[in-house]
Amino acid sequence: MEINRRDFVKLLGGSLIGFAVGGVGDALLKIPGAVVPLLYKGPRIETWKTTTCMKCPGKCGLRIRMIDKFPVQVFGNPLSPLNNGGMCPMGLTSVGSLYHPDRLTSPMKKVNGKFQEISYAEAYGILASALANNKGGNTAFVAQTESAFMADLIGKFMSGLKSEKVSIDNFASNSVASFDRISDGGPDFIDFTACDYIVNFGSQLTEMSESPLYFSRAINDFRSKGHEFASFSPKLTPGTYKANPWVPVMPEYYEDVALALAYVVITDGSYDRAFVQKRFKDFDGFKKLVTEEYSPAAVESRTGVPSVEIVKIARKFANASAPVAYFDESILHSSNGTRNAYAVVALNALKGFGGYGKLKNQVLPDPGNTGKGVDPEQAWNRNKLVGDKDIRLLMVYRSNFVFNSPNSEELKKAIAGIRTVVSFSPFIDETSELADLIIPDHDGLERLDAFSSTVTGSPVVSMQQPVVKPFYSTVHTGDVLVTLIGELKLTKSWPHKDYEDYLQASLKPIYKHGKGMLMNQKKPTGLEKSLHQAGWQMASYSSFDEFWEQLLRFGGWWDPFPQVLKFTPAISLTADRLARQAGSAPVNPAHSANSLRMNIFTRNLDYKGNMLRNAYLTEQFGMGRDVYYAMWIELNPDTARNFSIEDRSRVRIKTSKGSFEATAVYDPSVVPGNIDVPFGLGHTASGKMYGVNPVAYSDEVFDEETGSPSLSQTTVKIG
Amino acid sequence: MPKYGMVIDLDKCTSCQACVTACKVENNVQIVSEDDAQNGRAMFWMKMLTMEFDGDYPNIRPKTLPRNCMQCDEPSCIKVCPVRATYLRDDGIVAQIYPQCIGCRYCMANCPYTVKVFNWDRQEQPAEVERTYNPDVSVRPKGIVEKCTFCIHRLQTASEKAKAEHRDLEPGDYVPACVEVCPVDAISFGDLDDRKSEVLKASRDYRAFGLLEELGTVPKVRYLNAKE
Amino acid sequence: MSYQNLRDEDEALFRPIYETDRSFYAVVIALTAIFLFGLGCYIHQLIYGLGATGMDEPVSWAFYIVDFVFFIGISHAGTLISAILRLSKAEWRRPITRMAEVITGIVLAIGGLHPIIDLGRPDRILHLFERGRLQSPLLWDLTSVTAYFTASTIYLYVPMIPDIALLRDRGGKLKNLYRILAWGYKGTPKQKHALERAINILMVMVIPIAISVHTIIAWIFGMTLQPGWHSTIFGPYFVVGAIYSGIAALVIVMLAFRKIYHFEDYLKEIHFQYLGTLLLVVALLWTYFTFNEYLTTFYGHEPAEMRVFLYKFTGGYAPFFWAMVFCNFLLPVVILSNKKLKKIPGILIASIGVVIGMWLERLIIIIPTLANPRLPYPTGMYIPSITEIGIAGAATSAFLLGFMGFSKLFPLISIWETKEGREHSVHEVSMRLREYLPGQLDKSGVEASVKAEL
Repeated sequence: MEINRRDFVKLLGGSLIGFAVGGVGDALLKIPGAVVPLLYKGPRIETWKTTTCMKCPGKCGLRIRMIDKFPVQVFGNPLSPLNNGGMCPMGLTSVGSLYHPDRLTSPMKKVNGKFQEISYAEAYGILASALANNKGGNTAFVAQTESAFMADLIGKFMSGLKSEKVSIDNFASNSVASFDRISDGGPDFIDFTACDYIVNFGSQLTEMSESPLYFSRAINDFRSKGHEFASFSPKLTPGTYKANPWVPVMPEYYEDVALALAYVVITDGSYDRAFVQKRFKDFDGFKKLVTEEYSPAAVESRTGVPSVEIVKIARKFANASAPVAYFDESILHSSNGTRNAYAVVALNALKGFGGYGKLKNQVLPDPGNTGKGVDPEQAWNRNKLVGDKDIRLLMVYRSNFVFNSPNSEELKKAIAGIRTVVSFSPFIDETSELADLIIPDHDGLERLDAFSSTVTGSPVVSMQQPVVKPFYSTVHTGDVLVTLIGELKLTKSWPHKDYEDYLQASLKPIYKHGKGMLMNQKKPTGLEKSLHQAGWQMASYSSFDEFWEQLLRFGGWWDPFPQVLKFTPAISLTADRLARQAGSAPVNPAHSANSLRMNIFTRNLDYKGNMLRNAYLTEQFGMGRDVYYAMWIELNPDTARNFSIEDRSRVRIKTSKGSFEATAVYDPSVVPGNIDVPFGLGHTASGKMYGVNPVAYSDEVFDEETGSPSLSQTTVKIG
Repeated sequence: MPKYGMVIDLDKCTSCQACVTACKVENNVQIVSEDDAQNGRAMFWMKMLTMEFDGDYPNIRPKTLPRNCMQCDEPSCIKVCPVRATYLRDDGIVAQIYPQCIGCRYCMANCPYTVKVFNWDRQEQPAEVERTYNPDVSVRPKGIVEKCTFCIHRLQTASEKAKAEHRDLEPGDYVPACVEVCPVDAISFGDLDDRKSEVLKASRDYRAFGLLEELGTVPKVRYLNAKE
Repeated sequence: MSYQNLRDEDEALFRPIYETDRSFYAVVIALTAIFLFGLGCYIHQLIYGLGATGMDEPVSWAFYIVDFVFFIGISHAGTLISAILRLSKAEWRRPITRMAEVITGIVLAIGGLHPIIDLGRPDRILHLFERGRLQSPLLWDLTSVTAYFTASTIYLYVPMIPDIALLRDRGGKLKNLYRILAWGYKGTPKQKHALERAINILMVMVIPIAISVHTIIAWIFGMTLQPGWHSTIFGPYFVVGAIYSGIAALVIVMLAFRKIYHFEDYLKEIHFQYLGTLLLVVALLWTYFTFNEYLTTFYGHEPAEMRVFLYKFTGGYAPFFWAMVFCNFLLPVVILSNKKLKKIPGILIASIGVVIGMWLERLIIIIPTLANPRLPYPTGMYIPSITEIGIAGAATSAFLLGFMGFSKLFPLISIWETKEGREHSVHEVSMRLREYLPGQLDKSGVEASVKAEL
């Protein structure tokens, strides 16, 4: 580390002024980064604070290690029922973004193609006047948030604007939306206490799911009881290592496979007749469709999935007392994504959703609230930005959809045609660099938010609290929205003055019904458990303010002994929703002698392209393959030999959109005829670009209903 | 005197790499430059290794295991060190004395597990990484060898704390960072001399094995094979 | 003995000291330039760390250690060969020993520096003395190399004293230096006797030291657990290799200086043919060891060992391996066992081949083992950087500069020994010969018969 004399003088001056103004803390922020370690010679007082991670949908409880009131390290909160003290690489390195030199320090306005710093007042003025002029269909909102409270607020804001053009990218809601559309609600969780067989359709349960760390633990416990889970997925990822069996299936065939399983269950007659009669509206139509078109043999000839495996798994599924056919957002990454999901839901219905659970008297906001009850054809998604001339104001919250979409060029063009684009991203990324105005949100460690989750079978509220005061002039987007709703009078009565107020109001029901406990002790056992179950509460708070203070201090609230109901929805699935329309056969890349199929896979180090600017994760990304800061592809040695590609040689992959170079790595577990390409590299908005973004090279194939991009239906040539 | 050991249950391990990251963050292990990483100089004290692929496609599974320093009881690195920059402590930890190391790399050449890493050069770390250094661990200069020390600084902190509280060090007071963060508790850590310890029980499991045990290095990090 | 006579007879040996032509300076300037470039490389490495080299994980030892082993091997040229020749009273040694000893002195100094160049923290080198652990083979190595350096320098210096005395007596440049170095040697019988005794003692002492040096270097590798290194044969194998490369280097140097300084009268073809025969013997011995080493590995078929084995035979290092087999076995054996080819050009080609081959052998011993660790890491790769090549160039040019510098200060061929050979050895050898023959009774009888003949 080098400090020149000028820096040192500045440092001296800075700290003197800092002391004068009150507190070293503020002064620390004005001095060059290289000097900060020197200041660690301070008293070195260690303190800990709890908060919640917002790097993925997992909502893990965190303990932040602070030295002299500055966060330095992150560990898991052992009392959080979601992660039990465990951590993942993303969470462990999450403190870095707080100090990142690329963070936006104040609102930015684009003038002549360049961003200029402006004051918050000015930025707010611009946004408010744009909102005053544009309402209804002229406004659109694309957000990515795992907080149901924040999603709710955005929903309220947009309904106040009378616009339906809102898309909330939210792993949880994306997963349950399919349930919502063909049944009266989705299940809240897999009931691991009852469930004894799982058929997994493409979900990377332990890597990228609604709660990777909870599922890692739950699946281990599940297996230790002697239960098995079968997995259908296009790639053997760590999440499927423990599956028995793993059946390689390309995502567009999940539908066929699920219905072939249904075929076996139906023809064996081992389905839940009572449930089907009562709750499955169009069962006869469904039965007819399945028996006519989805016999295992027919499916094998269409998809190449061995019928023996299908029958074996189907019988296990049918014989299990409480089986689960599981899927999540990843099932949508195919041209027929939603139909895939419907097929799996229908499969579950045959066994009466035996392995799923539902909570009684849920007081938490439903993460799948947005788009509920909307006909899928009318639901808005970000792809509809393309060609929509009405939109004059686009707001983007933390979503980097330009990076994640294969149609990024069209999206860019569409965004360029929108008069005002406002981004709330804390960094310049591929999407926010297109904005006209950026009002950066706080970092995760400066924010206040709450996350609700039901994956564990218990209602959990994880609190995110500001561990440090905001470093820069960033603004909590929730505050912006709350103020805007109030000032523009978007709803009739709006008593909330800021997001904290709004959040407190949303959490009051929990305080009121008085059940559950704070995350201040382990799950009660023995006598204490019986007392809990009998309704005794040992609340350590007597007022809502105390409850709120403790909620933040302990990191959250949960109900360890909720009342669990069996999930018995009414299925309104009609056979024509599953039947393939003519001309919409799955996009099936040809396996010809000189072409391969590109399958883009995700790793647990990158969630929706957020690895950008995380030095640790970027370094570690290719560690397993010993490829660093560069692109690689994985392919089966047999395939490779057909194309005379040597292990670890450089190859060029050509798609319809161009070509990129990568290192070819042999992996005998890759599906023959596929090349597996990792997603996460290739950010163009950061200073240095490593690798390429394969999504930008893939064909523009989307799920017809949700607009999720397909990640595995691109034909490539290699040379 | 305790004898610290570790057992990693490969049946539980989900290959999530949290231990790898936790180790880097906890021990201020340098992030090397792009060129250096591509030339095989990336520094990991804990690394995910793919040992082999079992079975034939599609019933194929890679055998992956997290590999840190084996903390051998008969360490080959210590034997050859010309300056006692690495030594076996009474509590079984193979520790490093960074200010003593002359950088001859003999220990690296002699470690059958290739766990030692060398500071080929000192790169400027990204600002956010430098700011989040763990203040308990020194940042190593260029030209010396380093490796996993079972987070020995945590042992110091824990024993000082225990001393201040006038009690003995209890099991669980001291665990390395990888053990603490493992989301599935696949890593058990503790005193191998304590007959009641979980780690001793695990290390005597029928599934237990040590990497390259046949070399007689007596590794104190052992693995439990995945169940069939 | 009269010194005046010497001036006429062996003037050719004095000439290089007093006469220097222009091409000499040109070579010196060129070599100095290479040396300075290498020095610059080292300074760069000091500042930026060993990152300036091509080493990585797991190939954590490379060029420097290869060069270290190689140079120390070359150093066996000298002292060991000269001592063995002296000990066996091989009369043809007389013009050879000095050069052999000089090679040892200079190369040892250079080779011995290589481990220090290889250190990540050369500033902490004194830790070796303050806190050295004698259990480490590196400390053994430190000890034996310094001992060998001391012994061989003395062994170079002591037999040079009469020549220095000659130079002193001639006067001219650097008179004072010669006066100090000559230690008042006047050639009195007492002094001569003492000198001979000293030489005899040193000669016997230096042989075990020389053998120990290379054995210990082999132990640095042999004591580890690594596949391809952990071998009991390594000690003698390295010693044989060292002698092998030493002889070859000696032949090259002798031929070069024979040409430059016109020593054709002193270094005759017969000398080279004898050395060639020695080279052939060692070549076969080396091949025998190599065969032993690889056959046992192959037959044992241990997976980790085989990974290294195959890497050498068919993998990434196959070109180097087979080049080594060609240079170290095919080329010298074919040339040296063929009477027609065993002439000076042939011997020179064989020697150059052996020097290259032996360097490759060191490379093949060190790098493939490191590149193929026991656990399934990807195979390491190693490409030397400019820094390493620069330093290797500097080491070679330092050797040449040192040798050339030496030739400007002291005679490259021992003058007094040549003289002694001429004056006494003819008689002595014929006496010795007769002693071996049947029919001769005892020493006195032989002496009488010789006298009678004269």
